[in-house]
Amino acid sequence: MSRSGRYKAIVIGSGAGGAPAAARLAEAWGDGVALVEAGAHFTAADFTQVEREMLPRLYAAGGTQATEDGAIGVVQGRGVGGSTFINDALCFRPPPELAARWKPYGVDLDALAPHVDTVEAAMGVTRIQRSQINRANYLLGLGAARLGWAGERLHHNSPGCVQCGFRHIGCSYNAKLSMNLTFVPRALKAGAVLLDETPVHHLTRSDGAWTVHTAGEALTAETVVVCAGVVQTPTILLRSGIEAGQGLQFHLSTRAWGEFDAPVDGFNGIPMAYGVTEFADTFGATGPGYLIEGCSVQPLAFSAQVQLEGPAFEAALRRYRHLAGAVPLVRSKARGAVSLKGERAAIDYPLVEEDAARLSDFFRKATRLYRAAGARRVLLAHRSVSWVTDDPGELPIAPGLLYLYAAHLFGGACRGSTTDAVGRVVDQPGLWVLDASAFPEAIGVNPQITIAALALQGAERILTG
Amino acid sequence: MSRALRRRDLLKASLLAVAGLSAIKVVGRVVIGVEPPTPAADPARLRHLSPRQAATVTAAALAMLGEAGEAAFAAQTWDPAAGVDDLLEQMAPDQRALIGVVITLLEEWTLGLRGFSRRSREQQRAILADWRDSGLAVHRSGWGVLHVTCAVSFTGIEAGWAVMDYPGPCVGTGRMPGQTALFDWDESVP
Repeated sequence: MSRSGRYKAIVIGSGAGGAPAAARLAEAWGDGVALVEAGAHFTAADFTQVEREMLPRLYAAGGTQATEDGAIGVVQGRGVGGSTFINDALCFRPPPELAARWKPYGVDLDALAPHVDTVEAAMGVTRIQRSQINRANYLLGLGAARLGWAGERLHHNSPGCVQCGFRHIGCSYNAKLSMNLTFVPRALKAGAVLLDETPVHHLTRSDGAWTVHTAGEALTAETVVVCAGVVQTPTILLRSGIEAGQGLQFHLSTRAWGEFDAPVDGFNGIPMAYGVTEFADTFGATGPGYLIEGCSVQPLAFSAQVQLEGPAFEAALRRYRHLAGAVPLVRSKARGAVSLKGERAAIDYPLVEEDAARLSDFFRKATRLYRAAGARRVLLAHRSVSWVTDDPGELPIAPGLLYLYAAHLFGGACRGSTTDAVGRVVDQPGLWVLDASAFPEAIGVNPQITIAALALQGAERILTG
Repeated sequence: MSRALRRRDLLKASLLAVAGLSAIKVVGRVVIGVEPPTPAADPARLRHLSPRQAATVTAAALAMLGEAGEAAFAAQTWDPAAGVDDLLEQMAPDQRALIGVVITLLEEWTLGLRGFSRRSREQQRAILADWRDSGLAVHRSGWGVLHVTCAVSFTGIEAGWAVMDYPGPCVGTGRMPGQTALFDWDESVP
């Protein structure tokens, strides 16, 4: 099949949604399937473990993507494998609470279970063993245990992990079984054609077929599956004259670190391995709606998160080895939007009171957690209050007052508006969205397994008509 | 909480306001003979920063990073302007332009003929602290941009790693991945 030829199906994006969809379609249609990816096809040899080299190459906008007001960093991968090759490899099955909440959108969670099993098997999902937990994550668990708060070792898709600590800038050991090592090879083995470094601009439809317009060529297919990620999927639809972009929702996050007398060396080992579920609202928990996960990072990222300057900043850098970090995953209640500003995507996201209250609550709970674990003091990624030893109280939460980022993105082509229950774009025959853009809301846990399972389910529906 | 203002629009509006002030300052400097700031990095090496912007970035970075930054700069193991210029090279044009606006704003924001880079380190830190904790979103946003660019130009290189006592990558170095600090597991932790 030539690069400008006609395909049965074109899948745009090779991340958690696109790769499984392409693999399943290719199993039926072979080289009639094209998998089109904007980023490059990296291999383990490309991953140098040096942040200054990797972040600009592997992340959308070189790691500088943010909302229009600059208040919220927006983290996405860019390359074959999408965000799965730069994520922290945490895996959760779809929270059972989604069954009731997503029923109005026609999503049958029971029917999803076999696809979840398939995804977990392909990605080698296992529970992180005690022997793999580094000291930074252990200290989070210790604090929770001493306070009587629920917590657990998490699951990941890195069964052969060598615990180097660099999985967020690409696994140099091919141990993290992200999409570029699982469903993309499966698609290629079945005959799919991979077109990397091929950003899609827009789509047009004529004579019963879709044309995918890239920078240099036009590809044609009866079926097009858009899985370009929560910013790019609505952007491509908008450029194509299709209503999209509304209903954007984030997992909002910030940072806190406990400072311990002995070195913690959180940069070694699995960065995110332990979760405190006490305040979550998933898997039966009835908290306010945020999961706390242990998270230590390499030095460049750490320095960008600490909200200090001058001698105080230098002092914090010098305590880097003694810090254990944690993040909240706040299941945001706000709704933002992706829109077009000229040719580029503009991301707008409001900070609402309910989210601000939970972010502030995280700072208080993280302080208690680390102090209970024996921390001398706690560093908050907040400009009003940095080091604390006691409850910081309710902190002001507003743009520019704290380090704030979107850990995961959802919506923009939501079921119930842009798409139907299985991901078909409404009134656009042959056009599908099978990534997290089609989620009606944020789900409260790391989403790669849920995205992949829904993509497999959607691909089955494409094949069965 | 109200919807946040757009950062780019705010910064552009502020830049327009500063442009007028800047013009007056330039005339004043010529009249009374105040020299423009000396560029810290070799201007020929810079692809995006002007000599004046290079001086501003260098001053801001040294103010941000404390004594460790001063020492690395003196030892010529860290060149903030070159580092930030490298970062700009990797950014999209609109992001690059945004950071250029912030740098210009910082240089020209202060009252008086001396721009930011010609102030004492204490004054520079006071200005940055004002921006960091300002009631104006444009200042807080600007501090965030400066903080990240200056910080990562230092902590992304070996000079910064030394200050943080960070050993660097594992791959290709012979250092075995894994934990360095073993510990006993408290059985109360599930």
